[in-house]
Amino acid sequence: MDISKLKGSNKKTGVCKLRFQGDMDIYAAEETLAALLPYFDDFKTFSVELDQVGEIDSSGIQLLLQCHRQSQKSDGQLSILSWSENVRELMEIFQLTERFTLPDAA
Amino acid sequence: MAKTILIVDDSSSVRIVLATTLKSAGYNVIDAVDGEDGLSKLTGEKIHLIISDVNMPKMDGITMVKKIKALPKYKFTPICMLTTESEESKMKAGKMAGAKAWIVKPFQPAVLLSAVEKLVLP
Amino acid sequence: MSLDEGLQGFLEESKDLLDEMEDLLLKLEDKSNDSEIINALFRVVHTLKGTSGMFGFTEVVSFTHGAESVMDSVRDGDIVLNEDLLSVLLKSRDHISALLDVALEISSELSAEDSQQGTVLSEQLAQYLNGSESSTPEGDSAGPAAESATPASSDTGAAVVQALDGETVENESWHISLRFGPDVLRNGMEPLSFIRYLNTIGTILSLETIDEQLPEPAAMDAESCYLGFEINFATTADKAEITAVFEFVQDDCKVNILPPHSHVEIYLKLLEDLPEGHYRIGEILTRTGILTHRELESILVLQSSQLSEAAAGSDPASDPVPFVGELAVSEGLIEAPLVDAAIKRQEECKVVRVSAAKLEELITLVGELVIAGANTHLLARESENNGLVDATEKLGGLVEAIRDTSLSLRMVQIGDTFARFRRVVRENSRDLGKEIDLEISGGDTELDKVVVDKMADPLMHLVRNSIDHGLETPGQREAAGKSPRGTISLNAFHDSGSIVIEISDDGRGLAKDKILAKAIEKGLISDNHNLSDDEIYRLIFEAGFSTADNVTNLSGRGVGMDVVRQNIESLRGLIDIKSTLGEGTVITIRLPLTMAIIDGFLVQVGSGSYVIPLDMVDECVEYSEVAQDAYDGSQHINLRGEIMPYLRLGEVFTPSRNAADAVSSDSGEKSQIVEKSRENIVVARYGNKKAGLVVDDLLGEHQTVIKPLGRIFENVQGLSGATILGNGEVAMIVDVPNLVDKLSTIGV
Repeated sequence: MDISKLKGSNKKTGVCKLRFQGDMDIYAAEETLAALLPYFDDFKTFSVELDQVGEIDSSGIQLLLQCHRQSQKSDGQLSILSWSENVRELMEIFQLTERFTLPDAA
Repeated sequence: MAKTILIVDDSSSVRIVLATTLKSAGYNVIDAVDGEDGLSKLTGEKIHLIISDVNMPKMDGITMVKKIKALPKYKFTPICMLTTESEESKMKAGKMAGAKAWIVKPFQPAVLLSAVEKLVLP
Repeated sequence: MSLDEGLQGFLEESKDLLDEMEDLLLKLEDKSNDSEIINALFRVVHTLKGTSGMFGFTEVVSFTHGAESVMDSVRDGDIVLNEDLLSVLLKSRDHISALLDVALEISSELSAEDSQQGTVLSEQLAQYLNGSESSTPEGDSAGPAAESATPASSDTGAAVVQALDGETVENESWHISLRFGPDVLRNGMEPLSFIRYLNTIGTILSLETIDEQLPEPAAMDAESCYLGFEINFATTADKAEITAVFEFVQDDCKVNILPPHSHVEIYLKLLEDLPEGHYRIGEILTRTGILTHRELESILVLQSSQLSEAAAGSDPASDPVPFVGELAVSEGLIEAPLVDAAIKRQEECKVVRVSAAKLEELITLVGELVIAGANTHLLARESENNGLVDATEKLGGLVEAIRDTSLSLRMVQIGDTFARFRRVVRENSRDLGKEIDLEISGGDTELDKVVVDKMADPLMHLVRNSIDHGLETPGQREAAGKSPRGTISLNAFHDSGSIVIEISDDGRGLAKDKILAKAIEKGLISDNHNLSDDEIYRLIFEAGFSTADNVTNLSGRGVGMDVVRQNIESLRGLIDIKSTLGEGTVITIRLPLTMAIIDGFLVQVGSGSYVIPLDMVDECVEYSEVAQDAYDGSQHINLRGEIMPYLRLGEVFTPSRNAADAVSSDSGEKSQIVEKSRENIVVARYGNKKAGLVVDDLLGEHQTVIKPLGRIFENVQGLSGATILGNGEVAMIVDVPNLVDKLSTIGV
């Protein structure tokens, strides 16, 4: 799992844009959380690009829920800028689509 | 993409029944004749489910589960054990080792498939 | 690959397992505490039970279960393996074998003796178990999968219902509340899969993902699961089916399943049981339409009143129902019988298993149909009504098709029988220090199941003879200039209406002089014999030829070879042997394709009708054409230069012609027979031998159902069965192999 910070992130405003690349499954979970932790310290609201996510399972969803939880602290919510088919399918099963801000196309 | 299931059983007819049932439901099937053989089939390719007998020559199913749980690439693979109702102590040991799904033999193909559906995402 | 092949494989495998079980038990007679053998034995019994179960052979499973339990206790040291127990286990092995034969339709049903034996053995096994631990014998605990796979339903719900105030909620669907435990993901379980699976038995109306348990990021373990779900679920499935969905996570997940219209108090229990707090969950339940606001209010009112009661020190009715770790399901609906589910599953099985007896009945009826059809056709032809003739011809074609199809139901490939010998060859050769390859060809040749089953023993005998005595040790082979590895070949093929099975080896061959010496010693032949090589080899099939004590002197062939021959002859088959000293031996077995129906050639002898199997009829000639050339007094005819023996069927079968022993009587009777100008000779052939059968009249081809002869005919030579003709007359079936064989041995 590779997480990279995108342009438009701003520590002052607390806005953080991240791009996730790779699998968000249980095998990658620890690594993904470790990569996320620094951003949780520095930023408040999160926007994520998920169109390059491969396999995803409940552990990946939990991490996204954690991003959402952090965003909520400042009355925001997680916004998903883009998503792969896998991610979209899982979000729909878990009926999380109303909780997050979704890509425009959706 | 079809999901891959590893079946481990020393009985060739059980392997045939398992493989036939699973293949007809669209899964890829790899088979092994005992625990040792089963481990040797874990070569890095993604395996989505392991279905294994308990009593087998060379290496029994529970020993195999313990060893799988120590493999970084396979430790979270769902494992479904085939058991007979007389193996309650084995079932406990197996669950301790990390094999949570158990199917009691005898079973009908439909039971197998419904178990697989609960363990493998389509 | 198909399930059918799985069954075929099981047939093979179970025989192997039974053999192995026997081997292991016999080994244990010497070393009764060898833990490795005990383990191996347990595994064999266990596998037998498991695989039998896979194919639904519950009788086998329930009996084998007893033996398995005993072996389990032996393994654990709770039961001492003594001689008595060994003999019980050996008998159990035989009983399992008998049960499997029934299950696999090798035999139609258990004999009364066998089933009584089974009861006795089960009791004995149970006694051993009772001796080791005072538990009750488990007897028949092998229930169908549908039952054992479903966790026992909890009855906590009933207690709750009793304490109710009566108000039920409006929700018409089920409510499922899930809280997954931390280890679920590590155990390879995916909450998503279970939720998806729910969609296969109903419809998820609404679902709320609960993430309240998610800790602060720094405290989070990414591999632990913190998720929970509240699901509003519409389904026609019953409680058992819903609980079964979560069977695999029942240790790892709090599951509460509330039926439609559950009482408010049950919801209260649910709220109290959940870790997130009443108001939060209450809010979720109302948002997802599971509860109305009014219902939530009354739940909360109920709760506060219970709290005050508890505070007043009265009976703590708010004691949480023990939800944790088990599936707490409230009663309130009548469960649809589990039987329904079981039946539904069975319907998905595509292989139809039919008892051998039913198949037998079908084939008998088809036989009668063939006869009736032939009669109809005959009458139609006599009526000279062309339309009727056409119709009966068409009918005849269909009947023939039905006959072929029904017979094919009983046809099986011989390959499985052959394959069983791989193990026999491997193990026996190893024991003897020989190196032997088994070559199998023609395994896809099909023949009647009845024949295949009856061939197993003779084949085993012949193959073992080849291993034991036919093939030499590697040293002997090398000394003879051969490759150290010997080969046994099993081959099967069709040949003019018969199945031919060949068992050959490249061993030392038969020692002719030793056979001769033995035969003379036993008085089977006289000193001044005049036998061809083939005839000498054939002597080993004679009853009384050999005794076991001097087997090896004669390359061993001869131990019970007469029994092998009898077995094969009882199948209307023929066995022959060819051998070359130093190069090997070929045994050829010729068998009829099927046991039940043959195409016959109907002939008249005196006032009686006889049937000669058509595939053994070479040609028919007029007696007068060849009779002139017959050698005087020697009962031979000359057919276009070919000399062959002949006999008058009338002399063999018609008492008035005093012919009961005509075959063996001297010639010279010819003059006594009043020669008829219309006499015909049917040239019959079996294998490579021919003989002429003199009959009074030829009546033409006829399809025949073979009926076994009554006991009264048991000793009549030359007849293999009887049949009923279309006009109701009984016709005897001529046993051509027997007659041809007799003629060619005695007549020469």
